[in-house]
Amino acid sequence: MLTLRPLPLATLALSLTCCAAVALAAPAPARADLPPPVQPVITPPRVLRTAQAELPAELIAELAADAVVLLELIVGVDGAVTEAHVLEGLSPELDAAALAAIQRFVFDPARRDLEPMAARIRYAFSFALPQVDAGPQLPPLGTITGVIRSHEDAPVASAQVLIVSRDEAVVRRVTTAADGRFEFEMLPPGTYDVRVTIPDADPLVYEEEVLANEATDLVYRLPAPPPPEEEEEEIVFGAEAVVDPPPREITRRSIRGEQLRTIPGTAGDALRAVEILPGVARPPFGAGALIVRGSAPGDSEVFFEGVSVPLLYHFGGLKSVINSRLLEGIDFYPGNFSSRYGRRTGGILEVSLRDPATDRFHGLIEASAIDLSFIAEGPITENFSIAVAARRSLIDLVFDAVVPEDIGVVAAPVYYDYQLFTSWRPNPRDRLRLLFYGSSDRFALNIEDSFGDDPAARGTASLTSRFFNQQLIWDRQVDSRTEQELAVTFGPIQARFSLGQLGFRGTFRQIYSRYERRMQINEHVRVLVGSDVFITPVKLTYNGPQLGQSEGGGSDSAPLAGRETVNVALDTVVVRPGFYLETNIDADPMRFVLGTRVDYFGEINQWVFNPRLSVMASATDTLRFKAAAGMYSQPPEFNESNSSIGNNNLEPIHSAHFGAGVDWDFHPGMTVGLEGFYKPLWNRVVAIEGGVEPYFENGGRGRIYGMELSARINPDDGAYVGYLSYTLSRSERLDHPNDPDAQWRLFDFDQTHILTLSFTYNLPRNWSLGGTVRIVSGNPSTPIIGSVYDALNDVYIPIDGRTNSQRNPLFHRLDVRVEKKWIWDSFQLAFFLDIQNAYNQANQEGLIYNFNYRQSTQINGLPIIPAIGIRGEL
Amino acid sequence: MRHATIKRALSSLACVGLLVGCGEQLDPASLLNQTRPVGVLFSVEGDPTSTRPAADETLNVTLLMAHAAEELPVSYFAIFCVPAPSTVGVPFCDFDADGDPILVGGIHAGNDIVGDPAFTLDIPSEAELDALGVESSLLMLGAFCQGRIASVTGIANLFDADATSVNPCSDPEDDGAILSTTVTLLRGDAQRNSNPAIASLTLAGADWDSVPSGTDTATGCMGQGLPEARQGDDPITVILRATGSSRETYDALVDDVLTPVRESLQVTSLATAGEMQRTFTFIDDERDVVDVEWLPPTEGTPLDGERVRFEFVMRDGRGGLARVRRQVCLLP
Repeated sequence: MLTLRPLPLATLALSLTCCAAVALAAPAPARADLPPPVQPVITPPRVLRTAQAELPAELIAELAADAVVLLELIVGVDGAVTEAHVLEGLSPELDAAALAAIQRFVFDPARRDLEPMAARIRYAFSFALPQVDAGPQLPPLGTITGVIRSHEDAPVASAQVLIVSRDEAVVRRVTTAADGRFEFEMLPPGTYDVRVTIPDADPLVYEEEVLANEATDLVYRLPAPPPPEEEEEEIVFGAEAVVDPPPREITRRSIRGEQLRTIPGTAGDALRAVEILPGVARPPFGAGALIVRGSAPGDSEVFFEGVSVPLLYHFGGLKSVINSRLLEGIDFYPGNFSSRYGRRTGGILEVSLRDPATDRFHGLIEASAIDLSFIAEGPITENFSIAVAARRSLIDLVFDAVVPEDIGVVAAPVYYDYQLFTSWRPNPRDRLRLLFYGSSDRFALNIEDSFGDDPAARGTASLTSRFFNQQLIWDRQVDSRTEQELAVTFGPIQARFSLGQLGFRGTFRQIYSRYERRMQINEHVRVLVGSDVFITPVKLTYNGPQLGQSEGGGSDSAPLAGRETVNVALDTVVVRPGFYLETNIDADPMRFVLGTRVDYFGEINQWVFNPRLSVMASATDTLRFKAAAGMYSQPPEFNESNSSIGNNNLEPIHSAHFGAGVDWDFHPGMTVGLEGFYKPLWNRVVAIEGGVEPYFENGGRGRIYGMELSARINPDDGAYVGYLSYTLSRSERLDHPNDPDAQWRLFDFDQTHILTLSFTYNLPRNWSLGGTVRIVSGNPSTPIIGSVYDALNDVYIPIDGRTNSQRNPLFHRLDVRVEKKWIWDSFQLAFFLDIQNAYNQANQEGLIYNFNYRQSTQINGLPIIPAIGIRGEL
Repeated sequence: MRHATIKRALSSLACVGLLVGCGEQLDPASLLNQTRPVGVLFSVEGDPTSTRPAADETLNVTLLMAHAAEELPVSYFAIFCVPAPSTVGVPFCDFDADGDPILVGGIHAGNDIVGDPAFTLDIPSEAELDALGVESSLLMLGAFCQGRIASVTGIANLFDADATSVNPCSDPEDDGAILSTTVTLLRGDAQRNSNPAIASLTLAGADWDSVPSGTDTATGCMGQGLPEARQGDDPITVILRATGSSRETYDALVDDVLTPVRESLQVTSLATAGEMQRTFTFIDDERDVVDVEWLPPTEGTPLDGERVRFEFVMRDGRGGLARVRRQVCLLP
């Protein structure tokens, strides 16, 4: 038995008895021809978080300053106290208080070398204010709370509830109170089994995920007793927890919690985190476009709590419009997504919101060079909590000093966004969330004379976009087998752009609703049925050049001068209802997901039917195979199908998704995946040559194929997190298949190789250091092979060579993030430095040309951008 | 603004504000460092101010050239045809049933022309125009080269998807260019239009008259009667005025209603050295003169001075055009 020296803690005396000492007590004799074996380094447990004993005031007054209860503890591999009993007590009341308090302690577990292990220790519990070792850092912890109810909704008291870690270690054990509630606080993030034991019944086991800094509230409801004729049979309890449904997609890539905000290169912007995932192409200039598996940005969609988001980023990519610290996570579906999602042929990004804090009020202020934001949140009542956040840019404070004096600044660039989220749980079955959120971007310059080489580029140049959404989400546990969700969103979206006489002005009053019902039909079959309806009254005016093909439009470098302008005034309503049904069949080790979706696109008066199928098979507990096929459709862009500037006889655009792959959890906390995909496209909308009526037609085709490799390292102790993603793909288009000279061309953002490596290490003393490396093939571009002098307007019209027949050089970049936190009892201060393009690589994003297109120079992407910020958090 | 053109200022602004890194600066359009076209002047025979011929009239066509130094001879060709319907890209001729472009008149061409190339176009009769399918305009396509025109291949290559360059000249290094413009005919709803005229120019507040004859050499301009400026000087203000009748009123569709509107005059300012503050300025309802600054070069001026050539071209946006040339003697 090995005994190590007690830790030098001021208020406690600690000695360690290592459970694993047996293995060390009798080392194998060393062979003469071999060097002696290296003895492992044993590190004892250390206290990370303490808890005060709760004592009546009169007992506290009587306590001696050195009153100590000597305890014997077993500290599990996760740092939690799994067993405790008194060796030398003071009194029954004091002993009980000490035992209760010690259960809430959190330790850094004992370690053999770096491997955590369980350890039995003796611990002198002092009733004086304990002090915490300032050495190791506190990992983010989570909480699971819940209630056990009978089928008649009555609380079930005295049920034993255990929470068990993945390696079968009992982390904590509680008994439900009279109201049926139980609680496990301060759990390290990870997956656990919650085991409920009720007398005369088989134990029930549920798998739960503990998320850092989050409380997961669960309802386990017992099923109704069996019918009378079966009364003599053994009662089998069932239960249903408010947890995520089983996976419907073969590929779902998620990033959650703090990881979202600490990925280097994102400047703490959670939505930017998606760019490190496989299948996502790098958008040029750091713009916010979501380019998924070779699909155009408009082919993919972002949902916020199940509802399509009208605008994702300020000024097209500067910063996302929803405060990242209100987000729970992002789920990214690069293909073969569920029938729940429609009207898109690319990929889906689902952004989920966390509930406002329920324990106490919290506040956060964050300031960086470009904006200032705050969050305040907390409980109003026991069941009702609220979060308020707002952000405003600071760019306008310096803009006047930067702009040349003879350019009048009508409105310096300003963005702001705001969120008000409430969550109300009137009863354990229901949760109502009311969300108000909006955003505004505005920018205007007055340029009396034209600038550059285009005489038409003059007048007031302005950009305004704003939206205000009101969203109601009602989740209800209908019964032990049925859940339902109703979400309704409505709010105006305004967008204005002008350049002199040219411009666009539109108001869209988006109404979006989703009703969804999820039913566990039996042990093996789960059904999802729902409908989402998109209705948008649209009023817009447009005065500008005829719009061309949004993808594959060539260099798009022609001046505005001399281009024929079109004038459009519209007042219409876009109606797109959708209906979906999905069946999830669990035939262990196989899982089948059969989905169908029907959509109606009102603006072109067309219905589409999309069948989808996914198959997942678990070869072992750690090895899963998957394959899927499905059809996906989307309507043409609004301008393409509008009869004034487009063709309202267009048909929907279609794509088929085929994918297959394997996921392997090769080590706890480490997962690797490999997936191949193929996507044919047909009925793509392409512009008619010369831009003449009807301007657009169907008939374009496309083919996209490739493979994705992903690896994720995220050990339970949260010491570090790493992502590796590599995508090898090719995306091509054929615009006019009936043209005998037509050839396949590259997609605008075809990137053959996309390699991203991101790693963040949590260092001692609350430092974290991370880096993201990206190596990506350059985007294709269209050469300009000459020009024609337009003598009427005194400009040159460029002549394009073959579309996308050349490519920018390889892109590579390193982003670095350093963060330091100071943590006090009720306040946390963080300082961060996020450096994008740390070695200032001049990555070419394209070419710009002189007035007659005889000279060109490269236009580069982002230079080195250090972003410094400070954040205070209550 | 003293030390940068608007374009450069905005480029810099883009680099800072939009966080986009930029490569080297490109020559601004206002820098006249090669022979290039600056417009096509139309004048109806017998009605020289008119730009729009009617059927059976003759149109005088002048290709206005600007030169970086002494005037160089050029070669040119031009054709007129029925324009194909198009709203984007390079305009081109419509084709007949045999796949040939529908031409109006023949090919106009010349070699080694000193000065601005000029030729005439005889407009067909109304019946012939109708037979050709002409509505109210003709498309002029052409080219000029400092050496020889290679052929019309440069233009034909516009529609060759596999072309890697489009150059109408026999020498690939030739600074020649393909030209296009539109001739509006006085038929149908077309309204008359006259060429505008430049009334006066001042340089730093003084009248800026035309070039004295016999002094057109590249250097050695000191004491030859030209306005003088010194390298490194502050920007010098140029003010250009149009004649009172230059801004004509015509009927245009505004919100689907035929409404009388006045022309807006676009003025192009080019200089062979230094920097013009802007390439394009305007005379419109808000400003009745063009006020543009020229920033002299800061170095490289020979001891006996350098002749800096200026070209000012005024357009009414409807086919009307006026051009004046001026010079300044730049001293070290």
